[in-house]
Amino acid sequence: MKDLASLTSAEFKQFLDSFDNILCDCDGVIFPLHKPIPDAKDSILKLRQCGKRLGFVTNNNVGGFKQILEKFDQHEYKVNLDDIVYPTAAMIDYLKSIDFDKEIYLIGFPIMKEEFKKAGFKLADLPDKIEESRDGLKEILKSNPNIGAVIVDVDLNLNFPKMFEAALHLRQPDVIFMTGATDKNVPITSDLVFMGPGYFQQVLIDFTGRTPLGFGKPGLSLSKYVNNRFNITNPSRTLFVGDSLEQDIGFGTCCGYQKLLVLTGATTMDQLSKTTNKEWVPDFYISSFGDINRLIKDKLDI
Amino acid sequence: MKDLASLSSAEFKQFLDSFDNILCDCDGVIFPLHKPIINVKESILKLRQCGKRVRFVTNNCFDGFMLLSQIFDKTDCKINLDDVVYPTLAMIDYFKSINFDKEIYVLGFPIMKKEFEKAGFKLADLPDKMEDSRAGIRTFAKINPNIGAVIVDADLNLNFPKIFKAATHLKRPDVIFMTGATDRRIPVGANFEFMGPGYFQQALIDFTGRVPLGFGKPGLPFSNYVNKKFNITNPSKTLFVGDSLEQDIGFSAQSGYQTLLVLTGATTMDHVSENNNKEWVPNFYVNSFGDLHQLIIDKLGI
Repeated sequence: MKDLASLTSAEFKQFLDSFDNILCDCDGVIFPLHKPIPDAKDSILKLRQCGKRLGFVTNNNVGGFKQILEKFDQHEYKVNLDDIVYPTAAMIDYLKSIDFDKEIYLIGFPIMKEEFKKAGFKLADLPDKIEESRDGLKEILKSNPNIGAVIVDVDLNLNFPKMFEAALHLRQPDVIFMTGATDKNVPITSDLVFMGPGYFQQVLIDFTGRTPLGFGKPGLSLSKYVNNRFNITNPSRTLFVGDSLEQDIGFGTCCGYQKLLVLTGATTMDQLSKTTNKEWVPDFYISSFGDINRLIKDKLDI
Repeated sequence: MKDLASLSSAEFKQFLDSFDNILCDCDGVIFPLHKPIINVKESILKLRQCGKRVRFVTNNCFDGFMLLSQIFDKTDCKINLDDVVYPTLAMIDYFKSINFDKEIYVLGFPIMKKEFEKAGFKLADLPDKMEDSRAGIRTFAKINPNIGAVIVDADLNLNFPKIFKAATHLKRPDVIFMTGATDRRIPVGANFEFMGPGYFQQALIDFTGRVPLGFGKPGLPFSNYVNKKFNITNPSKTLFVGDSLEQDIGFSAQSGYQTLLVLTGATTMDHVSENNNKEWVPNFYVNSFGDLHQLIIDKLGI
């Protein structure tokens, strides 16, 4: 694991020549978490100038595609719509590829639900409360035979009835189980970390014994979609840039990409040095994605 | 591990003489889960006839003492308030012993909350919904400095806002963390199982890094309370009768009791043979608590 800033000019050139594509996570890499990330815009332009194709792979479904685009605009990063991948897009693509026409039991943000509806899918109703009596329990034990898939992503209003109904339907082996973001710890600000969807997905996985298809990093189903979408045939010539050990570096390992960790987001140098999971060790690390612009100038004079 | 039904008369007499007290779990032992349990009343009366004290230790705070005494009265088996222990009682006793006077944040059934209020404690408000945005999340990160304890038990209307607010307060080391029932699976009728509070407690334990005081089976504070309440000075002369490997047999191993597993509840013979945990192997097993009546008659002529 090497610090990009410490490479010699020759080593840096070798690094830059070793990949054609760069896939970047967004939150904590090019969208600030704790404090602004200066020069991110310039780094994007410089990398394109060097002939690299840039794509973006985020787990953040919650605001939908519209919110992602708004953030790109806000930071003045020029991107094509096609260059951005997020879990909902991957899920919709998969469900269309299998001609899915049943109802989807979707635990997720309202905007995520809107996107599935716009794509033509039917969503099952979700329960809100359980009457706290033994009779109330009987209501929730009824199964809906039209449900063909259960999707679990971030839901700030997740509740026990929703989880139990999800588990009930997952007892049928032909009901598809899909997850989006799997993060357990989601940094919101420098001192506020949120309990992520990973905890609740784990409850369902342990309780039902079912393993979901993963449409968020580090999921295999997402990696298939990403390679397809970006036409990646030789993964080792793709560099994945992220801030999260489990979601980003783990995803990079799963896909066979090269991996660059930035320290402006979910992971500190301390956490990086303490990690024991081999799948989460990046090839390179750098303080900030914004530093790339200056490093290319200094080391290669471009 | 011996089948009570297979003991010789001499062995059975030795078994019966080896304990003065019997502590019984309720659900799945005395109260039917899958199908009626016959001769419960007869077994209790017969054991009392043999000079054994029969009392009850349950993780179930849902039914409350009122329901328990109604059920027992129906079977002509009078029980006293003093004969039943469940988590709420143990927690109230603990709070009184430390002169606790702050607010308690309770994730539990309404009947559990009412018992705390009746005992003179103040309960903190619980949130209901969270606004689906980052601003909504920040509202939830606000600390209520009056909260001095967080209790996590079964709650059919558990939801993410309640859990996240619990997590936020548990980040303060001076806030006491207590759990009641820790069951992962709660049988409901013959065919269904609910996700028990154990899963959500685990998510909080993992997220906050805090280890709770256990006021349910298995839990050391709970075992201390049971021994105190029932004046048990020599645990080996107490027989614990239960249906759950983790909650009942595990609890007994912790407490030093002898153990009798019944097969009318959470555990089947298959579960017993698949079990790897030495702490969960009972001394004896019997098909049903109701069988004790006939076994005493047959083996000892009483």
